[in-house]
Amino acid sequence: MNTSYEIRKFKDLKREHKKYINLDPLQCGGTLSPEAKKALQEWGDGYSVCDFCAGRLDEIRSPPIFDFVHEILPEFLGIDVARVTEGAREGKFIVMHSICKPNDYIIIDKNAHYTTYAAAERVGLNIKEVLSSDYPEFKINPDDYTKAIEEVKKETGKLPALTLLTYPDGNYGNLPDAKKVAKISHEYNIPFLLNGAYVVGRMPISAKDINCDFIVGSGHKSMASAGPIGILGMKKEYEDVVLRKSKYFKIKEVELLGCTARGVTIMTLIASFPYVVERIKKWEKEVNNARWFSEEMEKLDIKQLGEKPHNHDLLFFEAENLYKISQKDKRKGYFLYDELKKRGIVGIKPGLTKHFKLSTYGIDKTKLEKVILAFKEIIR
Amino acid sequence: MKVKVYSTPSCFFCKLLKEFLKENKIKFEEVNVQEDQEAAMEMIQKTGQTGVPVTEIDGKIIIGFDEEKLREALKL
Repeated sequence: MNTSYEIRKFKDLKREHKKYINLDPLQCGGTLSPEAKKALQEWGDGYSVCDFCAGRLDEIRSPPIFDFVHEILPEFLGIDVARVTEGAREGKFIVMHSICKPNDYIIIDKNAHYTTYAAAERVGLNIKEVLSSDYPEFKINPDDYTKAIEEVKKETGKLPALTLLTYPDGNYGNLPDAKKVAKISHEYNIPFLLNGAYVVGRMPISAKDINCDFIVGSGHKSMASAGPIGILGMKKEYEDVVLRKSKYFKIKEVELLGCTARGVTIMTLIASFPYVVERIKKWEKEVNNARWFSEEMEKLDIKQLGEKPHNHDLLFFEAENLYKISQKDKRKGYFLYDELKKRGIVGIKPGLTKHFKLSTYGIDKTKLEKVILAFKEIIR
Repeated sequence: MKVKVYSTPSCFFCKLLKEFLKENKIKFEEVNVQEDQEAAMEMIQKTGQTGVPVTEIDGKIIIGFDEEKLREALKL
């Protein structure tokens, strides 16, 4: 190894696909607004906001972190108290760790993200899954939460400590009846956590209308922010437990390990917020685009799985025809990624042909037409 | 012009929508669908969905705070 060369190559890191049409659900909603790009330059130096800190990140008045965290964010989420975390996964862990005890049960929908499972395992919880319906919809039936709660009660003599719903799930983009899950949970006095990583920042949502006790969101996935960053909202009654202070450092919140997102992540999140508010107003158009895209793909014999008509930009497809082509092509499963990339399109994972997910979020109709045309050419 | 807004007190975009109407001096009737079940059912029947805000302008329905559509319907 030539070490000098190896070091030099780190100097000029280009992002090759920056100008391509990006269908990656992880990235579509995280694309920075022009204001956030400016903030990236302005606040990119390490813990840049800490110059102004008297001990707690969320208390910083200039730049206006306090206003954002304590005034705007709770109002935006429709919840009493909010904090910034280092991602939705951290928010889930914080809630589980503060209100559950090891060996407690948590009820989780089968469509949950892997980090929901990992967070529960890290806390030492037992997981009871609410299964989805079968192929092709994979829907979560809220009434199955009752069944799951009753089963845990029967098996252990105790109620689960928490219920969680993924809204929507990160595969099929299904939006289950969250209000009903909240109602069922509260009938048993079980707190309810809503994972809104693909909702908060993309579409209108009010935690109060749903009546969830906790909500988590993702800044880098859905709030046009540099990552990792997330948000956590909670009802006032949980504030003292979840945001309890350290015995040793009186103002530091233990579950947040003192401070969370410092520097560029929080500043891009804040800088993008006005843009995020504006784009949420166009949610109906986003849903219409996703539905149009799904219909066009189905005309090509590429089947959309999950709910129909679809209510979210995250779409999952099954493509037997592309899979058949991949069997004959020397590039095997990588042919689709390669062919799309040649046409200026990225975001579908390399190697996938038979099943893949994508998002149409923030991509205008002309560009979506270009994607459909690319699929037409590839199938031909 | 008859303007009716179906909303809930905790909805962020309902608040923005009402501010927008006030700024443009548009008089409107406000219905809280969280408390008024009859109005909630009326809204669902008219729109086929449960999301708020919903604005009815002389019988024309606008779901969400869609500023472009609102400006057009209100002739702003």
